Amino acid sequence: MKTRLVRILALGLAGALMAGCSSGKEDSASTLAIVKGLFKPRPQASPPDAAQLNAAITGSLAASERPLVLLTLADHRVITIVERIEVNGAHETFAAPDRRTLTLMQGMLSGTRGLGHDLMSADVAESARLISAREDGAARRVQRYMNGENQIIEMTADCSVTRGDARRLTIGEIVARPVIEMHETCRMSDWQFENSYMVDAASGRVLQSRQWVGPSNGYAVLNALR
Amino acid sequence: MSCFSRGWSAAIALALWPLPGLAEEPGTGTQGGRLTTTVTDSYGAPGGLIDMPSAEMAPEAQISTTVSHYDGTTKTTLSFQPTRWLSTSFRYSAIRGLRPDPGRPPYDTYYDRSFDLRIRLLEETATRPAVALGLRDFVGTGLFGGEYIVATKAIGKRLRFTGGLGWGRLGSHGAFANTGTRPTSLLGEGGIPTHDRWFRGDVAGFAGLSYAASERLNLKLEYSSDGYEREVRDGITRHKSPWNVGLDYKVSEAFRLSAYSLNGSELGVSATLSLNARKPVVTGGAEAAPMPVAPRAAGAARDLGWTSGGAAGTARLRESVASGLRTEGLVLQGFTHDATSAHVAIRNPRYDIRAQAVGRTARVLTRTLPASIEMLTITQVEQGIPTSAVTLRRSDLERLEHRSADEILAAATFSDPLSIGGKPLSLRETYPRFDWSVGPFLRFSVFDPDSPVRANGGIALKADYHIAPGWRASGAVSVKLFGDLDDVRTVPTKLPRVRSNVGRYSATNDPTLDHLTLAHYGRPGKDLYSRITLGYLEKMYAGASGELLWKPVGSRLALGAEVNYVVPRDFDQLFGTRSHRTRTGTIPEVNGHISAYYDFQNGFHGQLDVGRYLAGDWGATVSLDRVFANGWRIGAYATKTDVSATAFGEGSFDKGIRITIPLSWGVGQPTRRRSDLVIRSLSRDGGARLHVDDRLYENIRDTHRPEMAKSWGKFWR
Repeated sequence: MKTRLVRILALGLAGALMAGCSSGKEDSASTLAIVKGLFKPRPQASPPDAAQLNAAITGSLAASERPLVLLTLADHRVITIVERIEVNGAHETFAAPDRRTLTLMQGMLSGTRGLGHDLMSADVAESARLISAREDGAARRVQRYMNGENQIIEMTADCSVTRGDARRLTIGEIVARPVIEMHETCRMSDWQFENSYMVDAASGRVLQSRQWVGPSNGYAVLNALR
Repeated sequence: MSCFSRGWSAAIALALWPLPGLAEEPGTGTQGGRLTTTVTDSYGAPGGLIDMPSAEMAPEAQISTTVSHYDGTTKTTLSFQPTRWLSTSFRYSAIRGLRPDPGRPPYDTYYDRSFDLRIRLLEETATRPAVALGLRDFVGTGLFGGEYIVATKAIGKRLRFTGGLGWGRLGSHGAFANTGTRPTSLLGEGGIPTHDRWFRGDVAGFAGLSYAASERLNLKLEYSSDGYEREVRDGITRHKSPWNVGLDYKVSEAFRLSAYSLNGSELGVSATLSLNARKPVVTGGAEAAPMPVAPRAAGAARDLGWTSGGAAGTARLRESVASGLRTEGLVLQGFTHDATSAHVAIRNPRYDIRAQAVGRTARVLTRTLPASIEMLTITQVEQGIPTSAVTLRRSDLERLEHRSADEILAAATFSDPLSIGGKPLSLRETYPRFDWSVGPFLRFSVFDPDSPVRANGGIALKADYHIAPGWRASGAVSVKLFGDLDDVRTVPTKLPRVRSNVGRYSATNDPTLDHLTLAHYGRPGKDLYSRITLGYLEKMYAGASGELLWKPVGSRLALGAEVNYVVPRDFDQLFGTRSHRTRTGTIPEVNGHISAYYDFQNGFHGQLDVGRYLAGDWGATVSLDRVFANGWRIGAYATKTDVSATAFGEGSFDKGIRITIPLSWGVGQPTRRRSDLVIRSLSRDGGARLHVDDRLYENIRDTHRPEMAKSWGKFWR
């Protein structure tokens, strides 16, 4: 799987500005890069249009047999297709080609890696049970992040899950599938967020969702493509 | 090789819309309900007023540099908030027009260093103000010397009232009482706390208010109890009014500008750059994701069919582990295994947070080793010697990958690699190895009375040849391209000239040999580490240096001893040496220390060195650092030896401030590079130590349990 996770130098690093040369292969940080990072304006890319998006979806479905998810991070202006690379128990890890990953537990976001301000882990079993069963109820979830000293901080949220309308969903290989809309409203001490899910009316599988990643990353929109 | 143009490649094949920048932390929230401010006053200390102090504190870990100026007087202040209740400031001031005291040498501009402390005694409550006690310029000449007790109360979110009592300079206008006589004579040769003056002499009241007109704009008004007596006497300023007004504008989170009136006769301006050691550019880092754990299929662990592979099978396994580690920027240095356990030794050139290096190695092992291998031991190698081993059960890695990092920490066992049984690890396979680098350098000297900052700049070439495990030859050559370090004043001394002639070593424009050494690092026994360095040790001395360190892998305490034999080098810094005799005495051949290092685990780290210094003086160095788990360190040290204050000269004894900045904090990527900065007074001969590269403790400490546990959150990152 390593070959699929193409290694890249992440953004902002501007290794080209290294103030010197060395034989080292692993280390291209420099003071200049710090300064550049602090003052760099946010580049504004233009979003792909519908035709480009459909072409990419069709191409990815043809190129891979694995589960695929279309990921949109509005705050980062990112749309990308991620592919499942590993399953550990209930957790499925999906990777983007630039070696950033997200992990889903029954379709619920349980971790990200490489976004910055990552969601390190999340206990979402209670919400997942209600959403999958398409039932109303109360759930408690725990989200874990790192602080500026790389220590884990836990945020506990009290959530209420409610069942919404029945709809039909079409994207990728999913065509006119009957789904139930589920809402999850969560509160914690400093934050509140509202997630929504389109759940397969037959299997209880989450097919589309809008989920809160964390204070710095905002919401992710996830569309299962098969 | 990595040279000026590496890494533009951004292979984003499928990503239609690549990640541009990463979001900053959301806007500042509350600071835990405590009275804090990121505004600084004209003295560069946290506070919403102008010349008068307040009981406010900066947020913990805040570091700011403020330059403030009014007509001929410039103050540059570095302030740091080590705890919620303590604020510290170091200031360097240049004052034009001040007349020297009788008997002091004449000058155009008076340069002065000063230190401030402020301690919060009471936190603010709904009905009670915050109360703080402070000492301004409490060391040495005390030009700005003053003490105060001050209270500040916030009314609503925008308005803060401050009132207090001041002594010294802060009691020099409108005094209504006095508490004894305030001495004016200098203690020792300066550089000593002015305890004889504190809270003595005239007492005056001061007051002020600050108003946050908007998110960015703060307005200030104060009644000042500073009469500017000396400046008025010397004709620098006039004192027309005790009322000062000012405004402060936040340009960005990191940058503020302010302007204010002083004494009804002057206009002052200041600029502040600030950062917080606890707020890296990207919290948790923006580096690429790790390989996930590859769980084993149920029952697979019982399959031992693979063990018939023999030596060829082991070699294949080793190559696949090495290749997995390479993708994570790690180097496999040793590998042994049997049917149920594996032991790998890694060299880690990339990750400053060692828990991340171990976590990524562990995941690579789950993806590469046969299923029957359950016990995984990861040994970190530093300077060619094994320094710490972490043993994990593979089933724990599988079970805890998506849980809190505390759980895998509780399941991990740390040990000294020497105490692990089984086949010894051979580290031999990755030797010899050659590393080199070329880059610019800058060397500074600060606080020369004639010129506050001097520097030499040029190009340095460094090379390390790792001959065999623990053996390293290294050298550095540099060429000065510009600079004025050779103008550093050579002050009179009563000691052998061991450091004060540093100017002569900076004079040559020819290439110099900065060091050329052969070093051996070893493990003489469990919990013991050794170092021997021979050759041209540093710019001024050649010789031999030997060190022994005791540091159990789980211990917060370490003990060390170092003995050095030194020969002074020629001023041209080539291969010659010169006599130990100097005009003021003979440089002893032998010096050395015994040292104790202790991690207090509350964010503070202390070190005590006792021994014989370069000039043959005996004494001790005490160092205390505020350390952050992300690698930031800010601390101070002081050395007192049996050299008297008079013999030592200006400053009475050696002391300084040191700051370590991890570059990963600023670039949002793991890197072991860091920037070390020491602010100290002019090189003198008392309390001077030999500079040897790569002493043991700093190389070993980060791989041991107390340090790794602090930032263990990175294990799963």
